[in-house]
Amino acid sequence: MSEQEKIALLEEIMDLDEGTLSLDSILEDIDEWDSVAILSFIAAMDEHFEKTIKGSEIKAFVTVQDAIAVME
Amino acid sequence: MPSTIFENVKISGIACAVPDNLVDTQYFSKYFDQKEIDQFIKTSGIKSRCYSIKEQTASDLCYVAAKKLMEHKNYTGEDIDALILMTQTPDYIIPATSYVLHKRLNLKHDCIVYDINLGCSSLPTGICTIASMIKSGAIKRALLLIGDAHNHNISSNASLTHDTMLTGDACSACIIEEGDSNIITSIKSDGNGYDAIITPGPTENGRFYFDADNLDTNQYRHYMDGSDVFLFTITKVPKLFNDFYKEHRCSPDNYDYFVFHQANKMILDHIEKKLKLPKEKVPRSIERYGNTDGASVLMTIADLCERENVPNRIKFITSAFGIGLNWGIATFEIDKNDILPIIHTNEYFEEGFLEHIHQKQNEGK
Repeated sequence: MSEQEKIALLEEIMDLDEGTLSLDSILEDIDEWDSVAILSFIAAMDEHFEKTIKGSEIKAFVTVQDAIAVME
Repeated sequence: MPSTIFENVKISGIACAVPDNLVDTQYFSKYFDQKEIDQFIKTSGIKSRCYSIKEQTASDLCYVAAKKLMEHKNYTGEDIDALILMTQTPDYIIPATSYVLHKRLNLKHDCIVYDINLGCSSLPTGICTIASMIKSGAIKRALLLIGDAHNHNISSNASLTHDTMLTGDACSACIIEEGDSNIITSIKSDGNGYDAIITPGPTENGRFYFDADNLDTNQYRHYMDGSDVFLFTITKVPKLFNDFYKEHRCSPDNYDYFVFHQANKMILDHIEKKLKLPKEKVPRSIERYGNTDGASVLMTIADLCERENVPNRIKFITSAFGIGLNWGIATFEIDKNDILPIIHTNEYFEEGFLEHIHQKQNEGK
């Protein structure tokens, strides 16, 4: 998955329009980055990367860069 | 031990009861933002649920369901050799609430009676426990009652949380006995997650009887780590199914319906997708009844039979998961005529109120 596709997946997770996020967007500043987005993130990691990630690890992300870094 | 096959044991009847008090999710818009309510409906899938009235407990719902089921099967108290109640909302701290039901249902003394403290995942463990007793020869027939009633006070917002909106009150009753079909159960547990869903005791350190003279009722709050429980469910449950298919050389085609604990919409969507199950084979009751804890699997089966044309004899594969942590599968076949419509009731047991118990104690002096 390319970097662009990973950002698009994160936008899908947060129900945001395409092109809203950039690598340095601060997650905390985005209203849609809430408890439901965290569950969607867990589900997406399981579905697309067969990877389990805990809510506490996700909550520690600061930027979009941090979030897509675990997508592999 | 991967799983257990119980030959010649069957579930011979199912009945469920809910309080006759339906609360629409929109009711909560006076306590929460409309945006929050809309998001809750979108992610949980819950549009309504039933709440017990003030006097009503889980045992009241169990009583009504069990009584109706015994009437349907033409059984009296003489025919039931064991009664197991699985609840986390008992009537009293002690004795086990199953004894209140043993009395109310007029069951005989030759009867094994106890409570099991397990929540949403109750069904596979309950079926396995009773089927084991039947196969050992200890009993021929048992009542398995599962359910919770949380007695939410929704007339003020003091203790309202999203968990309040998530759960609905319900109880399920089934009779398990010797018969002409097989039951398979597969059960897993992981105590490392004991604190993922927890209600501590009302004491300073949260452990129940530590300081009974200085009760701190603020401590007595239910807690759930939503993301940890979500992660647990979407990874363990699909794996359990895939292992089960391999072990029993079966596939989804061998079953008419897949019935899961109705945790929330997100969890159900993800499990369905991961197991590649066709939607029409995965009934849901969560939209109408919410997350009905341990009763949810049989509630969903009863709801399905009320709403759709089902085969006369139905093959179910069911799975439940939750507090413990505990997760499992149970498969069984049942005639559609032995699945009763959901009962709506506000009946309660006034004799069990403390004032009556005190009166009896005083008369005895």
